[in-house]
Amino acid sequence: MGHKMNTQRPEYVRIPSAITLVSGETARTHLNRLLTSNISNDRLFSRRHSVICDLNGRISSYQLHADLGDQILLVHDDSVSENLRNNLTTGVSWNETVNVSIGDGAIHRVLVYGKGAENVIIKLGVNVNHLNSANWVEYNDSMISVIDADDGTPIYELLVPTRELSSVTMNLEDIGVVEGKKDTAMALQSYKGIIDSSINLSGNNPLHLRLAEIVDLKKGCYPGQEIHARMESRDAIKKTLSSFRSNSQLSIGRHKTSNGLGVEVISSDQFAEEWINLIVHSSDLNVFPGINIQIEDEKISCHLV
Amino acid sequence: MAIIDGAGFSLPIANVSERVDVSIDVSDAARAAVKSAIGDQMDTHVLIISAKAGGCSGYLYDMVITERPNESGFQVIDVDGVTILIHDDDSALLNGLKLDFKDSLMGGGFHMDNPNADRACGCGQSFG
Repeated sequence: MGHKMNTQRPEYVRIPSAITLVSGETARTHLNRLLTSNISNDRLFSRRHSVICDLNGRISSYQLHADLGDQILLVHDDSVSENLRNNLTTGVSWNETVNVSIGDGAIHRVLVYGKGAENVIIKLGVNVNHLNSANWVEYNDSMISVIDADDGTPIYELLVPTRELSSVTMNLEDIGVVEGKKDTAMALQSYKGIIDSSINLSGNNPLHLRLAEIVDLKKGCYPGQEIHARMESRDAIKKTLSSFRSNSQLSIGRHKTSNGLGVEVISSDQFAEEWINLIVHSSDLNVFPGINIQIEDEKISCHLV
Repeated sequence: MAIIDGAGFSLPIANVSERVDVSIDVSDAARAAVKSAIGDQMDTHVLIISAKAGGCSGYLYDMVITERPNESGFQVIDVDGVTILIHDDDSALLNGLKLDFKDSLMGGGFHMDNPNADRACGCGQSFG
């Protein structure tokens, strides 16, 4: 990875998200039986990403968690809402209590990023030393966390109730933060190899997306576990995910390289004059320093980030 | 929790599941094993068989011996004095179930053969 990519000033953006709230005495147990991750030890204000897979080990939904103790807030793309909510409301046993409520529009997801973003958060009165990607911190009625701060270009994530949204954005603008573009915030994450919770990963295997940290093969059975365990034990994880930059946008979906090898673009977002792309490809494919992707009659050069 | 205190959340989504009249087949060995497990509490205790989300194949079987619950919604099956309950919500998934018991050190215990299952995991506890 070369220079650090960042905007020249702090920006904020609202990422359209769907919201599902899971509550009830056995909600955590029920959810834990479905997820590839083990959330049984999550605590109040834990933050994590998770996936629910189908029986073939392919992702059915990808979501961001905000653990509220006896309730779990799931933030996800609207395209997976139906899958997720169907999964959550099915198979609730006679002696379990699991309530699934829809909160689309009740809470907004706001990202703050760019040069000086850390100072912005300090000016909001938040102690940035208390922020890490595994936890949320309360900020008035909202919650705040940091997606990634390791390389000195942190991206802060806020979950803001609708009633507080205008005051939060006004506060941000009062201290010089401008409204940015969704593409920019997405590209900054893709550049770091982070998959934003708003990306639809349906149909992909999490082990092909560098999401092994949210696949716990020791937690016991979950839908798709047999497939994942077999892939892992047989060293059969044949695909991986890499970040590439290109001079034009790549359409989401399956394409071929100029050598005829299959790849899948899962995101392509513009940052300044270039696009940052997350691409799934064969682990055997030599992607350094880049690959050429054929889209219709056009050959697009993609350089490894 | 303040973040979810305001308006904007729906009432819980209702789960509508198909109800069918359940018929199950219990082998002599399974009936004897259930009787043995219930012991002298046959008058008050029942076996509840249910299906819950999870497992490799989508659903997990669950069997509990418990005091007869007060909740409505159960279908009652009497197998030679052993009372088995299956909830209406699980009826479509468990109708036609064959329950057997194998008395062996390896792979012993209750076994389910479910005609509604398109697949089952190796351990036999999950189906889909």
